[in-house]
Amino acid sequence: MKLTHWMRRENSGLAYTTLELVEEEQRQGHMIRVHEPSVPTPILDTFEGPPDIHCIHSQLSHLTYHDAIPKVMWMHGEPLGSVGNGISMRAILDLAPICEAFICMRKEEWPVWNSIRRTYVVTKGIDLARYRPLDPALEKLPGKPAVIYYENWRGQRNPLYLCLAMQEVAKQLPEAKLYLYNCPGGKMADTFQRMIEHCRWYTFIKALKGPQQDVNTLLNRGDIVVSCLYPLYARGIEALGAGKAFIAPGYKESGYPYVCDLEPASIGEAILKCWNEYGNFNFREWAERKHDVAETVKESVDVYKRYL
Amino acid sequence: MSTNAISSPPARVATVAELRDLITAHGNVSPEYATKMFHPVPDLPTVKDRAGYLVAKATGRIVLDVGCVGQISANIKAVAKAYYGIDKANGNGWATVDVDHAPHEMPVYPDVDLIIASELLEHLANPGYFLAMLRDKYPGIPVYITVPCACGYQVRNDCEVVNKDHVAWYSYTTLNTLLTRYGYAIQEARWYNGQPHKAEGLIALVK
Repeated sequence: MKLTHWMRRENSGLAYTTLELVEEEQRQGHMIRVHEPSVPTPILDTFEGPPDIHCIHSQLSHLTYHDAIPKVMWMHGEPLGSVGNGISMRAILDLAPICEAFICMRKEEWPVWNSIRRTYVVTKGIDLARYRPLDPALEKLPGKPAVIYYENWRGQRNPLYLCLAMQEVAKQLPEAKLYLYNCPGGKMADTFQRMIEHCRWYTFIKALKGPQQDVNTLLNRGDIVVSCLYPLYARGIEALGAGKAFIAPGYKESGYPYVCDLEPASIGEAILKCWNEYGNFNFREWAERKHDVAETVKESVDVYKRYL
Repeated sequence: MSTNAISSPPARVATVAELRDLITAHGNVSPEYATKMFHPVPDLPTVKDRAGYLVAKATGRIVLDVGCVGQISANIKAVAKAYYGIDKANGNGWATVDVDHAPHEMPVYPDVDLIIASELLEHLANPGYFLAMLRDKYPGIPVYITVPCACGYQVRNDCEVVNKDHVAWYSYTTLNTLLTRYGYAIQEARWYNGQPHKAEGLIALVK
């Protein structure tokens, strides 16, 4: 198939997810084009002429609105957040009439999106060739366990509850350490630096740093990756690909043993349970079964074929 | 659907990997903007006490201390093998030179093996002139330079907290740029009195 993906060039989980889809589509023999909505020429192009389908990830050039080519919109964001930011949901509603269907990656969201446009659920996959256990193993970050937070920090999306959870974890596991990465700097960094000093969290928080160039390397150096996201879980499942534990209030997949609620005590209990049982659960194998982008692409191409 | 705005010019890449690198390297800004405005800072160690650090480094050395009035200079003099001072103030025991406007008048002491210019550059309206003359008169001699860091900028009750005699704030990048323009290179650097990017100042050993 000839697939055009419409996305904005930005440092976000949406962009990384889209690029992994595109890369896997190429591996599966499809031809791809990546287009920014506001730029007349594609960023990346591997075919001539019009596509078979437009895949919308963030906006769409108005020039394609009525080109008679099928359009499917990927729902990367979480519905409540899309309403909350005052823009996303309205933009989705604007585009919905020209879309044949929506695709979402969490079944919990399906009723919301399906109320707007017919919606299909596909596997939330990651590139398991990119996110993998490294051999030989890297030197681990100090800490038993070494807990990593590397979410894209934004407003209420921050590690406050995790810090509180780790305070309790450290009472039972004095060698437990927390590493905060991806901190955007500015007021957020100031706030957390002051909290670390004021609350004396420096006994267990060993890093407050910005983005790391190689996420898989970072993941391979930790034991447990924790996200404070709810009700979604975003890119944190990359940890599972790297063979590491992943804990997030928004991650409650059936059969996954380390689930928690969005409150510090629950997150702390999940960390303790996970560390006490470390080695009993094969996280990589779980990722291969549940989060393979190859499956995502197969399922989404099946959706596209319905509208050709 | 993201709401992050992007300010990026058109770009064309050949592979998804290149596109990923572009995004990872520059985030939401254009490569041109990133090249001009984003400058990595090394992971520098921190020292709590600038004075103690300089005194330790001066111990047993033949020191030229530029801007030599104050208790730290007295402590440096006490531990140095030999000591020469320069200051714009008149006094006994040092050479009186206005290094801001007449650095060419700085004396040359041939046996000096370490220069200290602590909390000096931020007082100078012509720091490049001073550095050029210092390097001309003392080629190859290591220099410890310390400056208050721009990241220590504070406002209290609508007042900027800054020494009224200062004419500049330096960051790691602006200090490095200034030094490089005048032929010096940072050999090692440290934050002093505070966390990285939050510290009171910077110490740089340059040559």
